[in-house]
Amino acid sequence: MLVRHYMTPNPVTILPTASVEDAFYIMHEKGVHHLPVQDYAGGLVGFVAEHDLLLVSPSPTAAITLHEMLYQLAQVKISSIMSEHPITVDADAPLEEAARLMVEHKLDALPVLSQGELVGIITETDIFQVFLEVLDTPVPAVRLSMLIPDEKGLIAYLCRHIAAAGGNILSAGEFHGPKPGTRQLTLRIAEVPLEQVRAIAERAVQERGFVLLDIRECAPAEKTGHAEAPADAGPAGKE
Amino acid sequence: MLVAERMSRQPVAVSPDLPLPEALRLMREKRVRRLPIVDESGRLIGIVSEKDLLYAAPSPATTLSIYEMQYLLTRITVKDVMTSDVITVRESNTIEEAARLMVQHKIGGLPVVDDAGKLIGIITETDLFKTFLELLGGWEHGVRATVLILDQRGELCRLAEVIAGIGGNIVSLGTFMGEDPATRQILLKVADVGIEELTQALQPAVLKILDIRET
Repeated sequence: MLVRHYMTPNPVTILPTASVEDAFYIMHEKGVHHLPVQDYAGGLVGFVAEHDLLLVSPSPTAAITLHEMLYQLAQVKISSIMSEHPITVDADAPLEEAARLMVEHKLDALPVLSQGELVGIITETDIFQVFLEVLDTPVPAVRLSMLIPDEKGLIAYLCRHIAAAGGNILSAGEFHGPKPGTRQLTLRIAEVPLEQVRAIAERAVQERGFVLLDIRECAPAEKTGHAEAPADAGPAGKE
Repeated sequence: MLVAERMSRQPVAVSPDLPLPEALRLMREKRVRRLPIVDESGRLIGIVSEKDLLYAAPSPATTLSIYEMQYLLTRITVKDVMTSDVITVRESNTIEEAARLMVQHKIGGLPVVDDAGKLIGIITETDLFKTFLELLGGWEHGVRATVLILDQRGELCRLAEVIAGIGGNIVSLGTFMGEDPATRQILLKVADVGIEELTQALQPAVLKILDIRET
């Protein structure tokens, strides 16, 4: 779960002396939206996003001629619009550190360094892929969400009852609950029918003060066609 | 964890007749990257992203004069550039369904609609990101451990029992697929125990401790 396992190594880079026009060209050609800016010595000197390029492109409402506009795009150097001293993350940092930096600084990608050298780039999309992996299941399962009281050993308690009923916990994730300081647990459980999981959950509510938030059946990613439907093609996710 | 728990309610929405420059201004003012477009009854009919708008501005390579360009811009409204085939979710969808749609369609935000197609919220990558950080224990303090266990019934239970046994409190927990389908990676953050104590307790209960550190 370290940044280096999920980043794109050897990212496409650009020189600070390149133009905005060059950057547009490279992004389209390589299908990327961010370019680390490297000098001739290979040092990271900046970072530029497609968004930055769009903002610098002369506004069509500006009172300049077409000739001036084209000239400007070719003349503006990356060094003048890039983020200098970009926020970076170390390749050996935990993945959540990259995610937290992106949230805190409202960024959608970070250059990755190892011993001060640029070794990769990590984007929101890379982290998202991991997110999908967490609660995805290879087989149909029951998805259970419960609010857990703030007491030790309750995850063990719940898991014990599920195992005793013959259930196999395929995935588990702990999230913040609706109120500050509360926590909720989402489990995907295979090999037991929904009704039996519900019975375990209800018992946990009575015995240990859990709150049942949601229980439903879920299918592997490729087969959940109902969630892909656009608005006008019927309800998504409601059976 | 459902969309309803993480979406923003009452999103900034606009009418289809809003001119482009107005839409761009509104986005900057409200600090949003996309605007859902609704009709008079509040029904969702389209969406525009900031990128759509920026790219829609006439290309400098066109042979329009500056006067023609300005005229054109004030005449173009969001309905001319909006995506009308909008990917949406319901309040009752799970957040992982929303995340999957965003990844599959490479979009940064999904409008949330009700049964009548009325816009009731929006959920963005940032909302999901914050949720993901919770799962990764990004906001918690404790000992962070990544361990490898067998993909077998009762394994997670054993792990939880061991931690409860030494008085640890599991403040975050996430399961990830390992490289080998027979194993699973578990990311845990445990409070109220020391790193030494946790290492000793975990060692016999797991296949391998991949990484352990204080956070």
